[in-house]
Parts: sequence; C-alpha cells; structure tokens
Amino acid sequence: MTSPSGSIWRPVNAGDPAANLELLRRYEPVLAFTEGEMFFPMNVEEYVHRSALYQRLDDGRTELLAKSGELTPRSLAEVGASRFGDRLFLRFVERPVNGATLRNWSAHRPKLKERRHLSGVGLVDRLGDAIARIPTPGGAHAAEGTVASAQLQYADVLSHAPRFVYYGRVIEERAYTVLSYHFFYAMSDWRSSFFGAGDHQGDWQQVSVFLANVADGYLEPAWIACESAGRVDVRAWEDPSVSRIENHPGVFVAAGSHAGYLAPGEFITHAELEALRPLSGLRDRMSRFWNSGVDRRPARALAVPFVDHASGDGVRIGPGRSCGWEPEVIDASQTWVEDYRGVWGPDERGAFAARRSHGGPMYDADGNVRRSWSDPVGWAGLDRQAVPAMVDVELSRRIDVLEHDAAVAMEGAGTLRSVLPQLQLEIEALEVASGAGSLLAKRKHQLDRVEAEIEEYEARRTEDLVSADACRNLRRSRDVNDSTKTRPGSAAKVVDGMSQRRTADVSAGAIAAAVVLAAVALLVLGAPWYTAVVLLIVGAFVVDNVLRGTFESFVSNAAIVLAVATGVILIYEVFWPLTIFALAALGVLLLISDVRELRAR
Amino acid sequence: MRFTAVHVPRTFRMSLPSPRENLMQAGAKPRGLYILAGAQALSSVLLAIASASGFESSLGDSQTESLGMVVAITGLVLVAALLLTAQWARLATMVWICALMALQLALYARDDSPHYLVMALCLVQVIYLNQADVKRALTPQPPGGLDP
Repeated sequence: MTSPSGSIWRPVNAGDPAANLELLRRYEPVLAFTEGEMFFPMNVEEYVHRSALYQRLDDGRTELLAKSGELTPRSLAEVGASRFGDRLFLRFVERPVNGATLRNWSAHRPKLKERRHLSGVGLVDRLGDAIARIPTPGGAHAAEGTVASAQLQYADVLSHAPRFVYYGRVIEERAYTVLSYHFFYAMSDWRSSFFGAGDHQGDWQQVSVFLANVADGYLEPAWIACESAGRVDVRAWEDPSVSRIENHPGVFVAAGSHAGYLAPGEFITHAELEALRPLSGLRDRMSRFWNSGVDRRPARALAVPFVDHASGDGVRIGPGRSCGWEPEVIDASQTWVEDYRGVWGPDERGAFAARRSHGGPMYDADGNVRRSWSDPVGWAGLDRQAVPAMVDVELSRRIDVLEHDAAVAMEGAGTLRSVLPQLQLEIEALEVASGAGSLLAKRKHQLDRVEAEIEEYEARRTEDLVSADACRNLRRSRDVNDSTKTRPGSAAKVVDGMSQRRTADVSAGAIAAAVVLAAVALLVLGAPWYTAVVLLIVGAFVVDNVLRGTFESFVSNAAIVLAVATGVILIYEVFWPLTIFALAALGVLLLISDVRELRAR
Repeated sequence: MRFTAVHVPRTFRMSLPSPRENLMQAGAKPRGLYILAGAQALSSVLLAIASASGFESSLGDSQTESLGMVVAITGLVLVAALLLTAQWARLATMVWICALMALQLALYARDDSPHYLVMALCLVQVIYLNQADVKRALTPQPPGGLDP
C-alpha cells in the first residue's frame, strides 16, 4: 500500500520472512558493473561446495578440515560452531591454472575499457604506487593464475545455474527499518585485473537502504549507504545525484574490488601498507597534535593511492534488467551466517591491508561482529542526522527549546538585576557606617558576582537567540529551496572523486617530454649528469604541481626549505660576522631611539 | 518574542585595526614591501656585478655569465613589479629566489664560493614575502575591499 507521498504502509506482520522479502524486493538495488568485470554476486552454496575448509594453526601451518566437494553451508555452520575461536578459512582455488591454460584464458578474458591515470594525486603518492607495483618473481603469474582458476570455476557455476543472488536482511533500529543487501563474489581480482591494491578469494559487499519510520506507521525511504573500500558513502534517498529507477537505487560497482558507489566515475582510494601499520598510531597522534593548532587535513603518509574504476558501463543486474535478482532472506535457517566466523578465502598477508579476505555478512576478517550488522544506523553515521521528512519538525522543536532557554535566561537576569540597586544601597550605607569593613568587602564581592552572573545569563540568552534565528533561517530556506538536497553533514564519507583530467594528462605528457628533452640536451652539451637528474626531478615536481593547481604552495614550501638550509649554512660559515652585524644593528637602533627621545624633550 | 537590544559578550568584543592595517586601508604600501624590493634590487645588482666580472666559481664560462646577467635583469624587472604591486610579482619573486638559493646551495655543495651576502638577502626576502601585509598587498583582493 502506497501513500500519495511515496511512503509505504509498514507491514503488519513485520519480522515475518515473507513481509521482509516484500520489503527487500521493493527497494532492491540495480548494480551497474564496469566493463571487464568477471565476477558477479553468487550463491554461497556453490562456492562453499567447491571450496575446501582449512584451519590456520598457531605455528602458521594450515590443517585441512574438509575437502572440496564435501561442504554445504549447513556443515560449514556446524564446523564453525564446534570450532569457535579457531582461525578457519575457505579456499575456492586450490592451485593456479598452468601456463598454457593461463595464456589461452588471458587471450579471451574481458578487459577494462580504459585505465585512468593517477593524475588527481601528488607525485609522491604516484611514486609510492609505482614502488608497490614492482613485481615479485613468479608473484604476478601466480596471482593471475588464481584469478583464471576462480573465473573458470565461476563460469562453470554460471553455466549450470545462471543465478544472481543477494542475501537480504531487515532490521528495525531506532527510527529506521534497515534493509541490508549483502552480495557475495567468488573473487576480488582488483590487483591482478584492474591495477588495484590486492586480490582475495571470497568477497562480501553491502548496500543498505534506510526506511524512516514516519508517523502513522508509514515507512519512507530516507537514506542509502554503500560500503566502499572501508568507508561508507551515505546519501539522502532524494539526493539528485543518486540514480534511481522507481524505488530501485543504482549502485555502481567498482571493477575487481566490487566496492559500491552511488555515482559513476573513477575514485581514488588509499590502501595502507600492512608493514607500516604499527606506525599509523604514531602518525595519528602527531596528526592530532598538529591539527589541534591549525586547520589542516591529517597526513596520509603511509598509504598508497589506487583508482577504483566504477564507470557502470558493463553488465547491469536488478529489476527491469535482463538479469534479475534471486533474493535470499537471511533468517534463522541460514545458520552459516551466525555460526561460521572464519574468512571466505585464504587470509594471505600481503603488502596492503586490502589483500585480506573477508568475513561473512555478520563478521569481519577477525571474527568480530561488524558494526554494519549490529548497529547499521551508527555504521552509516545517521545517529546525528534527522530523518529527512522530519527535518522541519525537528527544527521547530529545537527553536522552541532555544526560545524557552532564552526566556529562562532573561528571567534569571531580570531577577538578579532587581537585586542590584538594593545591594548597591546597602554598600553605600555600609561605607558610611563605622566598623563594617569586612562586611563591606563581602557585599562588594557579592555585587561583583551578581553582575558577572547577569552577564553570563545575557550571553547565554544571546547565544540561544542567535541559534534560534539560524534554525528559523534554515527552515525558511528549506521552504524556498529544494528540500530534497538534504544530505548528511559529517556522516557523508564520500570517497574523493578523481577529476577526469584528460587534457591535463595530455599536457602533463607533453611538458614532461619537454623536460626530459631539456635534460638530454644538457647532457649532450656536457653538463654534469647530476644536473640533468636534478632538472628532471625538479621539472617533474613543477609540472605535477602546476597541473594540480598547487604550484604557488609548492614554490612557497620550496622557498622555506631552501631558506632554512641557507640559514643553517650562513650561521655555520659566517657566524661571527653575522653576530657583529646584528650587534651593530642593535646599537644603531638604540642610538636612533635615544636621539628621538632627546629631540622629544 | 523579539529582542531589540543584543548583548555582545566580552569574548566577542572586536579589536581595533592595527596602525599597519590602517595604512593598508588607506592604500599605502607596507614597509616590508620596500625592504623586499630593496633586497631584491641589491641581490640583482650583486648578481649583475658578479656576471660582468666573471664568476669566481667553476661556473665562470661565457654562457653562465650571460645566464647570470639575464637572471639579474629579470630580478630588476621583478623589483619594479613588486613596487607596482603586480599580482604575479610575489610568485615570480619566489621562483626567482628559489632558483638563486638553489644555485648558491649547489655552489656551496661543490666547495665553490657562494655569495654569502646574496644568500642572506634571499633569506630576508623569504621572510618578508611570507609576511601577512606583504602577502595581502601582492594578492588580488575580492571586489568590495580588503578582508576584514
């Protein structure tokens, strides 16, 4: 049942699987994949059946608990429940395909249409990226072979049962009914296929729709949230930047990483180097210290940037598309969700944290309950956000509270003010009376205190009135402007969008080539080799900063660094002449000052 | 409920503009700008003299001397730009100083004889280029006057 405003009547039998399924189907998203994607949301049953289950022992060795073909989701749950606390993991790919198969597969596999460069980030970041890409002997081959093996198995699954599955969950939390859509992929091949941070078998991703429980038992879609590379992208349901087909939001899935974005594009994400994680705490403490004094963004020195390609130009799955969803409602019958705390792929420690495999919809890779499961409203940062449909009501309530507080403050100030003349008269009387010195001082102190309190009341009243006026203005501007533009403030953790700077890319190439040519010319002319190297490095930084619009700040910083070095050398080399000069200058200044003083007399 | 009188708490009390800010509002150039231009002129002249008389360092060939003269003349052009408060003058001067300091540091690193007076002048220029009033004088102002 739908109300005229688009909200729906809350099902009477909420909690019932059929009612939950109806809700889930009503708002299920359309996933738009990027061309080149090879893995799509699948049924866990097939994956589990084809996987082997292992336990990682304390000494680092692994023990086989169930061979491939032996497991079902139910038996996985049973093993998980009986081995609580053990580090379990599934392995979908036992070994990479051989060289011949890999060559054949590589020749026919789909590929990313166009790779964007990292022109949106700094040169240092890009150098980090280049260093992180230095291949290890046999590493690239093994990784690609694993992807090929996983893809061939997944293709086999699809050929037998072409199903695209999501696992849906409905939960009521605070003012919301939360619809969580969990998608499972056999493999994340971000690094091997799409130049990303890491690969791993078994990949869980999530999209959540928050239905606000508005008055009279109606539900109204309020927010949508996607998890992308460890961050949460939250937007208002009515946000014009969110593409929707009727009630179905469009989610753009990044190639390989399967991170969800609410708008198409290329997004820069940062992956922290695993080896440098212990240093992160130190870095954060330093950032906090620095940021307490000045307004600067925290440094991200230990992370390497990667591009997440989510152009949405590939397969689309969802309502109204040639490929639809087969939903599975998460309920008590799916015991694997709660009982299996292991990860869904081998947990291979790589260079980046992103290489670790994922836990299930309920648990993270360490077996802890995800916040998105236990507290989806808090996970999306919606605790402090008013339900969009209730913003005017909440504003009015706040204005009432502020006006009431201002009135109370005014009353308090008035009461105290009426006491002031009496106190003043008392003080004047005590001043002429004899032997009342200590009492006089006491009363004077009391008078000062009362005045200070009045000032405090007035300040509080002013603040309340300013706030109330601001709230009224906001309410008025919402009436005038499109109210659908409401977006969460600090809750919106939108991943930095990378500007598509094709022209800039071309210019960068041309200018960089000119710099290289100049360096070569200098070498030919007989300049020392290091002159050319220095020119190259400086040129690269200059070009990079010019293109990113940060040239002025770059030059300013460079000048300061050079000035510090110059200052150190000057102090070291000409300390005594400098000291004598400084003393002489001081003497002259004193002399001028004295002469001025004499003239003034 | 409307209140006509608004109490301004002590913490919000506004400070008076400094004499330097008064000067700026009156359209006068800050003193730092003249010191900056003076240092720039002196550096340029010293560089021109060094170029004309042949560098004492190992850089002393005819090409380097010509380059030195070009840099010195550029420096003098920048003096005029600074005094005319051209919007591009600050950035250009900064680039010029960077190049000069890098050259002097390179000479020092090669055990050649850097010009210590030029180095000291560069240092002074960097300090003055980063002073708020000099920055303000050399930065395009938004329509409607200077920032409060």
